[in-house]
Amino acid sequence: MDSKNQGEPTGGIESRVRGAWNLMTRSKEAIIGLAIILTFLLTAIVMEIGALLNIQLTPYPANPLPNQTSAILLPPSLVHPFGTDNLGRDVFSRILAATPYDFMIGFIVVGTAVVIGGLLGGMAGLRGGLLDEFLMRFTDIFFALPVLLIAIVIGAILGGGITNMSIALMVTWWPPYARLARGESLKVAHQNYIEAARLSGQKSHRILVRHVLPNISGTMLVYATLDIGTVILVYSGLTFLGLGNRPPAPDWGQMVAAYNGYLLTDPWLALIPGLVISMGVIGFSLLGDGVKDTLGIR
Amino acid sequence: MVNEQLLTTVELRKHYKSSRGISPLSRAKEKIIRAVDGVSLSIPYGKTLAVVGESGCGKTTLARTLALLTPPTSGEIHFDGQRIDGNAVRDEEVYRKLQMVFQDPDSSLDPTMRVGDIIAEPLHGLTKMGEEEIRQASLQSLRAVGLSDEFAARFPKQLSGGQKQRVAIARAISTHPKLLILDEPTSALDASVQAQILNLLVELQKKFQLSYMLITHNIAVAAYLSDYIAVMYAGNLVEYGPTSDVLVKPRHPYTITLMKSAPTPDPWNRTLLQTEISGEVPSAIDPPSGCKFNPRCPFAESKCSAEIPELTKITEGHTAACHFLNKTA
Amino acid sequence: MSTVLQLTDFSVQYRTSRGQVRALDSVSLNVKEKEFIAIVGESGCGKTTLGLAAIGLLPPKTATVTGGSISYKGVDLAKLSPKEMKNYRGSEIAMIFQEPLTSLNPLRRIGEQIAESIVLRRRKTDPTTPVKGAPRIPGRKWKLSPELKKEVELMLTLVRIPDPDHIVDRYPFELSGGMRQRALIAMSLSQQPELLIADEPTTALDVTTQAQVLKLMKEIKDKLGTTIILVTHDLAVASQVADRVVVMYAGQVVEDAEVHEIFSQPKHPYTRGLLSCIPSGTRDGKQLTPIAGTIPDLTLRKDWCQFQPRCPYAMDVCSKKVPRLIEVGKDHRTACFLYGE
Repeated sequence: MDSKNQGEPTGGIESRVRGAWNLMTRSKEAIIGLAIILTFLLTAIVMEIGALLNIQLTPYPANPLPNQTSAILLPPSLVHPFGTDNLGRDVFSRILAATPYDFMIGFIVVGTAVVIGGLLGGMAGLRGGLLDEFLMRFTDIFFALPVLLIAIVIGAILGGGITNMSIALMVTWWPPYARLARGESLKVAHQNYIEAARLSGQKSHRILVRHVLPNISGTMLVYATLDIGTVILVYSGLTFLGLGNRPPAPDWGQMVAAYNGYLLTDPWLALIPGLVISMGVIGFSLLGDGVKDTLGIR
Repeated sequence: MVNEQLLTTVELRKHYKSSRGISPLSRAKEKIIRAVDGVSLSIPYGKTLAVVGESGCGKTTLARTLALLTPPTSGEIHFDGQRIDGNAVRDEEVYRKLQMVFQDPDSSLDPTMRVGDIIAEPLHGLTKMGEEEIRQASLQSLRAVGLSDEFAARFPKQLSGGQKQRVAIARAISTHPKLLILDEPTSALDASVQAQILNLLVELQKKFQLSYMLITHNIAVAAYLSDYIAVMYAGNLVEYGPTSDVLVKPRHPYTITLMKSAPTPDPWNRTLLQTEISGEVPSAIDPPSGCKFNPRCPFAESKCSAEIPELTKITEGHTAACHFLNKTA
Repeated sequence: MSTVLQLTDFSVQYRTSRGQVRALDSVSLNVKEKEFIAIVGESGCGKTTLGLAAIGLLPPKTATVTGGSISYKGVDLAKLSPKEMKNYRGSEIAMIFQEPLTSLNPLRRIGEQIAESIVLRRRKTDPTTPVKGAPRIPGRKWKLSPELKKEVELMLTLVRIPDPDHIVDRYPFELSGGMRQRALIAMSLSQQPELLIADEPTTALDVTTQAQVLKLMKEIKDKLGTTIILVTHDLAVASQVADRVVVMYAGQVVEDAEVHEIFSQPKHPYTRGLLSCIPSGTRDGKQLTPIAGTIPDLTLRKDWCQFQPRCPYAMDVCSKKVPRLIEVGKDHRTACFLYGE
């Protein structure tokens, strides 16, 4: 019997990535969601490069000096697609500039959660016994922490800002991933190849990294992808409350808060950042729904 | 006596607790599952011992205990001149000489690893060989099981059942062990593939002077591969001896039924239709008193439920645990 | 003896992601009344498909009958509508599968499930008389009337389940594998079918339990006159219980003979290959002779012998034409050019 043709799944990383891509592009919803996400992602990357190289890539400066501003409170036009705000800053540029923070925070927080949760939960499922109990009770403690409250408390103690808020979110976001990882790890732990690894002299931590994590990564990543949108939403909420990026740095949630007062006179100011946040979240929701449909999960 | 044998167990016991709780309340309700309840056997160098029995007899638990995957509750295990059941000898030292092949070819290979890496894993974990040396050794293993070098780059999903099992065997022999524990190595395979694997196992045994401990419920396979057979029932050995003896002249009532029930490709000798056995395998928590087989035994008398029979000698090397061996002579 | 089931050039294809798979390819065989016939083959040979076709349970979305007929007492089952097939399924043709847990309702006691079968039969043979003790709405939990209970216990005794009066009230998960299989046989028999198809019924069972269940099936054939088709991969099992053995390979029948004939005069090279790779007795320096090669790809259309690539006796004609079943002895057929065309 010979090897099957190239299109067939092999189990290696390449084939799994291809499998994931197929999964995401099978349904129309997922494709739309993916398109939205990729647009944001691209913007974030471009903006970040610009920030690192100190080049202005937005049509107007996002944080202009008083002499760089345009007329204030201009409605959306061809020159200023999203209009200008009360200080004459181009809203469109500000939205773009905020993308690396407001969009990428989702990836950063969820990424950290996956790593922490994956390691803790994976080890718990693999070893079982007292270690499992201990790790899971430890997880439960963190599970009980309300995200917003912790964020506010940390904000009060350490001050606001994106770093502190990221920490607050990372601290409270990982427990569901630990639970998920543990559940998946339990399934894997009974497989004979784990026992074969022990017979090969491998220690638990190596088995965790080499055998357990690659085999549970599929489920974890599906869950993670769907979760990123939620983080974006929560973070926007925090910045709305004034805990996130401080002015004059551009930030979607903070913009919604700042422009709130102009809702009746110049509605675009508050609505547009809000819509942008929503689009970011919707992108992930669509992707998630599409993937769930493809997988047949109700 | 111990020195002539590669592996010897003395009154090996493996008991499980039925609850997993830590609270005293759950501990109080705990029952003990006597999966392996006092097994003494030995495997000579270069020979095969088949451990046969049906579900619940404890053969798989026995295999896993001998492979040190789970610690024995009591008893001794002597392997290659050393005692390995305590903490005196480190697992890694043992595993270079003792390896295992599992039943299900699908779950014994990590689907995210390439075949070459799968085979090399014991070499990485148990030896101090360099990368290139390991690579060569894995290829040698691969060739020894009849697969060409190109298989090293493939993933398990691309292999057939028989090929997967070959890879599992290649992995197990990569450190040149002395004993291979084979847990139902061909149960999941078609007849023709099974024949290929059995032939391979015979060939490898000759080539590398391996000992095998074959765990199986398939009497035909046990008879073909083994030099000695040990029959287990409800955690105990009920009969033990050279394969030809136990197969042709079984003396324990259970073994007799077992041998007769095993289908042989012989329509002129339908022993299967002549067997009769009632009841079920006893619970491992609450076994019958005395001889565990007595409720189902056609020859049982009052002594059988009162006293546990010891392994009694029938001929040299052939023993059975029964009070009334004269009834089956 | 009359023919109960007759397949004539019967072909079935499955639609899979790799294309159309020819699960059965011009299969012809006769099953006579009260015969115990074993259909033997390795994975992919089509034996399970054959069983499913006989009871009208081929998956409707993916399976198509592409030719021939499968007739039960003269009626082509493949041409029946699902409603018409229901008249046969259970009451005339019954089937038991490998895993009894999935065939028994885990939420209903054993007694109720068997009683349901009995009631169905009664309703069919005598639609006007209401059955005492049976709920009018099928599927509702019910307490069996003493009369029905007695009948159920009779069925359980027939299949040699010990303590039938207790088992009646048990749930499937409380029984062992062997008992569940017997309970399933009891359920099938309570409708008194003519034909019982068993698809690997003992593969998941212990050796001694397997022996008892097979013995039971033989008893059923002997005492009740039920025709039995046993689908199995195990030629040794077939040798112990069957009257007749049909060997299948890659969707085709390659040999069809009485059981002693198959073992004393195997004609087809595949049958011979199968026989020489079964371990039997101690090794004594013998070697098993496995069959070289692997099972062919069933998606390709082949106009030559399917076994030819692996056949040690292959001749020129074998790669050019498809061998047909021919008589090579008394009631012994095989499809191989070694014996003519």
